[in-house]
Amino acid sequence: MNATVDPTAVVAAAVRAASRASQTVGVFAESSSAMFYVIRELCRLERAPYCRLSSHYGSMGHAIAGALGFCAATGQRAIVVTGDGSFDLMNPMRVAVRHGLRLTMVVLNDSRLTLPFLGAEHRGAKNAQETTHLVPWDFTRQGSLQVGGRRVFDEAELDDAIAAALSFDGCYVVDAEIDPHVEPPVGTRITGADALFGAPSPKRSPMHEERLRHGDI
Amino acid sequence: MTVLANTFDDREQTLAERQIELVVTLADLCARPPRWRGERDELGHISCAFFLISAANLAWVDAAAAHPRVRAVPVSIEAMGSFAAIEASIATGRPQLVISGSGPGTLGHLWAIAAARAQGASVLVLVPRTPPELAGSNDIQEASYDQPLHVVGAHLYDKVIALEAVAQMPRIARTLRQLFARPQGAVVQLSVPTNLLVALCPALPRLDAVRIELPSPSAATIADVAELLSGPGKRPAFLFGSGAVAFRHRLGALVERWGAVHFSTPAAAAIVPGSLGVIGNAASGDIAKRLLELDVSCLVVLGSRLAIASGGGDGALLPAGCHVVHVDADHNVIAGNAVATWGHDVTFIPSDIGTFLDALERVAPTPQIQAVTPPEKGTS
Repeated sequence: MNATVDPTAVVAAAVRAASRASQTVGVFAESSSAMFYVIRELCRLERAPYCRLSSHYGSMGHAIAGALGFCAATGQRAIVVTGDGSFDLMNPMRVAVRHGLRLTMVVLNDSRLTLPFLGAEHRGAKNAQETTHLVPWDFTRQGSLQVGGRRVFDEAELDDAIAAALSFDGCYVVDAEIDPHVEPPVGTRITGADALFGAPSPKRSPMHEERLRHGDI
Repeated sequence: MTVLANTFDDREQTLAERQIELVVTLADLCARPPRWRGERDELGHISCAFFLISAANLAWVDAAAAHPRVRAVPVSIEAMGSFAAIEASIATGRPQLVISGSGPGTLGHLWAIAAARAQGASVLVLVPRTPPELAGSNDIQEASYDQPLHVVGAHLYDKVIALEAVAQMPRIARTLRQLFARPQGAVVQLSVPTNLLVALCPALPRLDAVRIELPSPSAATIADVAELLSGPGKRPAFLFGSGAVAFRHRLGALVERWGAVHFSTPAAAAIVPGSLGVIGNAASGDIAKRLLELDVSCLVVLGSRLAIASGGGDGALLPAGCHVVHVDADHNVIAGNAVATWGHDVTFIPSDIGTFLDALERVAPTPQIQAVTPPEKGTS
């Protein structure tokens, strides 16, 4: 089994690198657990870089395709922090390469749909949770030499990988294999969804308690 | 400002060419404050046309690709073009163009159109339509009598305009000029029968002759706000939402001038140093506790709908008696809609944030509380 990195460290490395180059790099976060990590990192900075979230509807794919539009309109580089599920939804790399855009994708890769995984667990919906697993995937294999890429399994490699991406004259994928046991800072996003069902869920579902007992969380 | 409406008037142009030229003119005339204040290359002052090419939209794509101030960007799925146009518009402040396909192609954008409007983007979606004489002919991708696909989701746009004759174009151009001048942006669909796209179109009227003023709060309203902000012994607070991001370079001075504290929604996280934190999803800093400790008696909300995910669902956010001044360019934002404002006096000011800041700075009384050391930063 490969080693993994803490997603917090991945996002921190990306956001801080963008912050240092704030006149030339925009940050985009997909409406997934990636967005929550990014917001938390922004709050730790004294002054945030340009950052865009799909803040109203949280439309899936908005950040990825939107970053493409940002690059096309400004000529500058964008970093997109995304989960592996979102990347599948709207892969922009062929379009970005064709137009010479500098798009850096930072993939929080845990081979699952993290928010649905946690939400299903919160509701005790075990069968639904089983559907949230994804096939392990190497997102650096984009099928073109014009797309740079690096897989990251160790936190010590992060800064180098992000630096390589930001100095690459073109598109780049930093595929970070993240620790699935780290719960994203989703605030009230999971419990807030209880309102959809008209009744609160148990604070912790039996599945959650079981994971706690086994030390998985 | 360069206005290019008549650049090619020395030769005849098709309707498609006139419309592409019109988009560039509108972008020059109706540009709003850009949110991206970093570097831009020469492309940053042109307009983008995002499209998925098809037979029905060939005339527009051809005209866009030929135009020196349009960057033609083919994409791989319709929604990708619309999402790209949103962020191109938000970053540059310039209206952007999406060239749709016909029939089912018009449906592919809807996923993003709702987001475009919610985000305050300015986007024109050009939609090719089956000519009237072919309607009902059951051709491929046809918008038939029974299923006129181009009007599906019409309520998601700010305006849907169906051009029926070339002679309509001057009035449509004026309408677009007015729509894209709105500070909250506009998402507009203009559908055109495909046979008219290649018809000749006379020069359009000069749009730079139309001057559109932004709505501005009255002097009395601003005086009331200034009085609230400078209330004796109490510290005011500012809440920055995504609509304030374009003015981030002015907000630090604003906060200092009024001796205020400030915090933000997630979309405006850390745009000004010294934030108390973030409310809503991924909240940090325990804002409610800090506002109570600081005895905040006036909160000015700049550019936020205060939706649930932005912290508006928190009924315990504000101290009792705190007066809320809610400033937003979108008059559809309903004052006091957010649970957080229930039980509080609310003054809603439908205004562009920049216009409001200008008006407030003109009043600019000496604050009774001097600027304070930035409060401790919220932690998560």
